[in-house]
Amino acid sequence: MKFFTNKYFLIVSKVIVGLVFVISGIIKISNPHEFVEAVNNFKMLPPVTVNLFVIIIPWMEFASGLLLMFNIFPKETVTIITGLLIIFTIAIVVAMIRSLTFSCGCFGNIFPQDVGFLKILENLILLGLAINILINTPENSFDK
Amino acid sequence: MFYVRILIILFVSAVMGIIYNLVSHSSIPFFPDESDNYASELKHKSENLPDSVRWRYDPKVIKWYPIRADQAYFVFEKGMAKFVDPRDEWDFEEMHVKNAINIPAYKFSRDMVKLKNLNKDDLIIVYCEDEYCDNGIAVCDSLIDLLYKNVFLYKGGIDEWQFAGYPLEGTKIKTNE
Repeated sequence: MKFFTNKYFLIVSKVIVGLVFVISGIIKISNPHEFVEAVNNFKMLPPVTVNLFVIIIPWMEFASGLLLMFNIFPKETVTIITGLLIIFTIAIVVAMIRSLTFSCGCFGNIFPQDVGFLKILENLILLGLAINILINTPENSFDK
Repeated sequence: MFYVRILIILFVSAVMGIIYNLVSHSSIPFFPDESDNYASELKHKSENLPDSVRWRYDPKVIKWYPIRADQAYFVFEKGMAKFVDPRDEWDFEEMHVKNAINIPAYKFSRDMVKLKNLNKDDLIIVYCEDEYCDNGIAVCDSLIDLLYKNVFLYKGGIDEWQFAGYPLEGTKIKTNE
């Protein structure tokens, strides 16, 4: 268990999780039309809310990822990232239950990934890292 | 303070997203317009692929959506959709959906002049003779390849449209009148 609380492991975890979110955010921000299609494919959000979701969520990913990478407000940013990961994973599980097959749009068409168990596994690993950071980061670490 | 910081990060991100969308060259409308909205609704409601096409195609690569006669007629009446007829010219001349554009499947190419009548965001409904006609599927796939966003296949085709008594035009229609 000491490994998970190791200072260097936590730093590497923050960089990995942060980087994944920064890259994912940049790709979605650079091509909103593609992301609209991906969100529509999930058939979960009311159509009228899809564009707002597409405009705002990638910036949340990008900002939280960037702040986490540089250890700025790590507890707060990793909380946001954990929330986003939970939402994304639930969306993928629901799509799989409904037998929908399509590219999830998680990294746009640059790294196309299908909705499936591999994507869930990837999200769960990130979620594990994020929760580990959340547990082992003091609330006011930035102030210290 | 913890939750306040979270709210501040979320708020600032949202504001950045909105500002970026206002100035970006690839911006999207904050709320989809009527035809976009209806296209999304149709995609939500779209049934599974018909058996007649499922066995030949990998569902992962199919990006067009099936549409029913009543849905096709609804958007026809509202003038929200452009109908594309992929049949041969002589079939088209005999009878076609009113105001449809004839883009024969065998002539389809990205440089076709007729494609200039279609915008990438248009709600496009492709129909053929009936649900067993392959030309509709071929043109749907080609339009998707050219990055048309809202492509629907009305699988009932001209036969079902005529049977329902929906508006048609063409030489055959004139002689019948």
